[in-house]
Amino acid sequence: MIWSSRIVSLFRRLKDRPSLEQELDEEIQSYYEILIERAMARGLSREAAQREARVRFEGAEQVKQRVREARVGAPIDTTLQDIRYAWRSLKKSPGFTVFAVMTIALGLGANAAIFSMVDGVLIKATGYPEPERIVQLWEKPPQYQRNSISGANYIDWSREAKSFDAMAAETGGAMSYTGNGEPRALKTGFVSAPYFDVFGVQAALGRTFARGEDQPASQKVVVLTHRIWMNSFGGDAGIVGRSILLDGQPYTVIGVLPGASEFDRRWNEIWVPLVFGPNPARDYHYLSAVGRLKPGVSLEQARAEMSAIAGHIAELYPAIEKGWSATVDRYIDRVVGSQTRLSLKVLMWAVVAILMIACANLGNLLMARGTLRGREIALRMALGARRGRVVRMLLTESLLLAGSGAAVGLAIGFGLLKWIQSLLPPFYFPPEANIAMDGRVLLFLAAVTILTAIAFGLAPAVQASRRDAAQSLKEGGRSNSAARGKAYARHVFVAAQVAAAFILLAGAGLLLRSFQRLMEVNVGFETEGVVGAGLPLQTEKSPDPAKLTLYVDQLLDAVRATPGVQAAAVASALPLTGWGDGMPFYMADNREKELGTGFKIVTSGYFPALRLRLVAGRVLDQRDTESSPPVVVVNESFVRAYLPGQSALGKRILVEKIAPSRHGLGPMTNWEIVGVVADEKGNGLDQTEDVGAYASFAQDPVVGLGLVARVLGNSGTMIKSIERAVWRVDKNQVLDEPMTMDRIKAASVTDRRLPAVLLGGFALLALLLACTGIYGVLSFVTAGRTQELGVRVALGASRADLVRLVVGGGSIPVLVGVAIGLGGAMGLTRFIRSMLFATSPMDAMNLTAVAALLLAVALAACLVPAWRAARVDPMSALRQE
Amino acid sequence: MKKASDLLQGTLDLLILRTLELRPMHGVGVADRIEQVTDGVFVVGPGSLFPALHRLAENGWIEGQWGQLENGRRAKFYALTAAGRAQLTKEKRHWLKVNTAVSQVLADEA
Repeated sequence: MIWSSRIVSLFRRLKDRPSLEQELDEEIQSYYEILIERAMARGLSREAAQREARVRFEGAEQVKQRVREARVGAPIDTTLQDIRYAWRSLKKSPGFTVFAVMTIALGLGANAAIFSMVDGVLIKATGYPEPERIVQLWEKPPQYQRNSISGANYIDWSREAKSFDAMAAETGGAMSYTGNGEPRALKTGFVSAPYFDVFGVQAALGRTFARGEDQPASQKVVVLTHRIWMNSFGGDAGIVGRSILLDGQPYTVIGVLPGASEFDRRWNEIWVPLVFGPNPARDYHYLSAVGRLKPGVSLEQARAEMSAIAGHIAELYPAIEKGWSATVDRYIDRVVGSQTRLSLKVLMWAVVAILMIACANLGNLLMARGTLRGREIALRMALGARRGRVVRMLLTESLLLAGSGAAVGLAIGFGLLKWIQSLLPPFYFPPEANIAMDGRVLLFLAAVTILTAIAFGLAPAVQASRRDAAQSLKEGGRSNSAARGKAYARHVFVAAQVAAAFILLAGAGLLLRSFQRLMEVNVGFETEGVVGAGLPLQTEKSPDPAKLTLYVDQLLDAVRATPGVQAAAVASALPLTGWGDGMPFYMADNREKELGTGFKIVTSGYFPALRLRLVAGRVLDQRDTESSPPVVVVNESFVRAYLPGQSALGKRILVEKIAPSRHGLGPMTNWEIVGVVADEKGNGLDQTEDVGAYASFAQDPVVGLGLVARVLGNSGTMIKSIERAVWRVDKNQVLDEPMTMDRIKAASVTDRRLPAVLLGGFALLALLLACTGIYGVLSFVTAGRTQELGVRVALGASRADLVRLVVGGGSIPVLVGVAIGLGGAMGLTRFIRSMLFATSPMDAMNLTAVAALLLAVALAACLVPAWRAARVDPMSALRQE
Repeated sequence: MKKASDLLQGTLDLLILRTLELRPMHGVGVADRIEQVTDGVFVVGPGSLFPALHRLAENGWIEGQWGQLENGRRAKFYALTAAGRAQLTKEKRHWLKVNTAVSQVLADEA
């Protein structure tokens, strides 16, 4: 009752304030007149009656104000008033306002951008229904936790396991899409039919695979991602039911997946059922697998069941599976790698530190302003403003600043996020990460903005309101050395800024140094002039070794015949992109101990194409044929690991051949080591050991190849010439993502470059902010001491004395900040140890360089105010009195 | 003499509602009436009266209406609403209870 009535009044008030005010005016006027009339009725003259009425009236404005305050929603009025006031006062000092808004905007913008990534990658739930029921399955070898799954084992698992509503195997690859302009490779996910049921995703158009559609007899079907549907098929809704040529065979398009979903952010562009041959291998592990738990089945129950099934398989096939078991992980727990997680956390802390520096900066500035406005505030308090009201007024000003900063910051953050995303290599974050500046980010930004305003506004506001009004008025608005407490607070802010900037710079320095060292790593071959490309073959499913060898020979002949090509080869993995296969093996003289090595299959041109340095013996060449004795070339890491202090040449190792389809293993073979070459850093630049062996393509032909060539001249045009040469042999042969080795090398280190570049940028921003902070404080302090300095000059102080005085005073908090920052950096940088390469977190050079940089910058920031102090003219300074 | 600003807010509300119970009145009328009835113990100035009138109106207990005095002057007359009447009964009962309790304490002391 009361409330409804009050709400009506509130609305009325907000709606027609002017008429309400006018009515109040009239009412009071009428009251006043009635008082006069009554007094006149008692016989007083008009003047006397007016005097009496005025005495009784206590001031019309005050009465009106009290009515306004008594009304519903009076706080809204007060707030509007505060905002109007704050706006006016900020408008009066545009320089300060622009600086403050930009400072906050930079801090908040960086936070908005990084939080968008942190939220998208680490916090936001995935779009899958009941994601906690999705698990990832692995084989568990005796020595470690997770290994890919062999075809036969997966089939047994999926047949026997009862814990799952759906289970699916997956392997990636490329299929050649032809019949529509230049042939191109489409990144393909080969998956068991229930795959989309596991993730609970439905087609946006048409359907996904039906159970049983992955059987050998079933029709060839393909599901498109929204991305490829839009880009290569023009978003044509009539695509469903149409047939497209993949690897030279017609596949019927049965559906298109939803856009802007996890499946649009995946590597794969099309999805095809994974069909197993009649006798899939149990000893070649190449599949990953996912499953959806039945409702009510716990992770532990699934683990127990999978261990039992895997244990049973191990008993049945002791020769292959001895000691192997199964690992079951919750899918969402494995989505984000620990390095990505750490990088994002470090960046988040960095932007929080930047925001804190910005707050300290503004806190200092506002305190300085508070001093300048001391008289005004003292006057307000003398006229009866309560302290709470003054604090509230000043906080409103801070909030207005922070709010404006947030608005600008949002734009900065959006730009920064877009820029970072353009730097990110495709598929850098997992597909589940949905990065966007959405409502969640805005909410976060709003909360941080308010916190920011309080952080930088509260101390100055309380301080301003605590001043003794009489004292302030007497001081005449001149700050003098009496404000010791305040100077102390300012110095604390400066020290904190310097310390935070120090820590950020130290962290960034370490990452950049690591990155530089990584790029200086000797990759073991000459990258310049080498180009590489994927070479998906249309016969990948059931390759015939003789035809395969013939086809590859034809291709290589054509490529080598191209003018400008010095050497060409195929390999089972391109340089710097892994070894292709990791194989268990035995030394021929010790069949007990199982060892492991990278095992790359290459044609003989591989060594001259890379100019891989020969250490001993010979490289593979034309002598090594199908009928000649099997030979391998090993690398220096191999010798260090397994044949230390011995000559490797002539030693023999036992490794199974890899089946041409690369989905199984061939006979156990006795290979003679005929040469030793330098390490090519196959597993990445940051690996110190890179054990590997090379076998000849002629002796073990396989699919899943890459083409490498050493070329003279412009690599872009050479890639085009090579493509034309390849198409002369087969117009449907795809060269997948041809690029220079330098680009492959750069791409292989992006995950290290990105945090280094970003943290470096943030550290520079921190340095800049800290620098303006030091400058601002010193300028202000110096300006406040003009008279004192004038007196000193008058008493005989030299210019140099004044400079020393100012710089000395300014450098104390800087030195304290550097000391704290040094300690903080030594304490904190160990958390990024795993992000470093060949660099100690305690790297003395780094810490020294950071300290020197900070001190130099701080000194520069001190110099302008000091120079100004030195120019103080004693006469004019004293005249200000 | 007690200054109006020292009056408990609730007391002033009660006094206004009780005054308006008889008939609708304008502001000066309310103030005069209270002063008369209490023999000048309560002098309600406009600084207290107006905020109270507006607060009561916002609560829906009284209603303001512009009207004319005998001499033709426009003035705002306040009248008690049904809700105001109910509120007055409630406040009277409350006041009596408090008054009785306070009297008992004082009697006890004496």
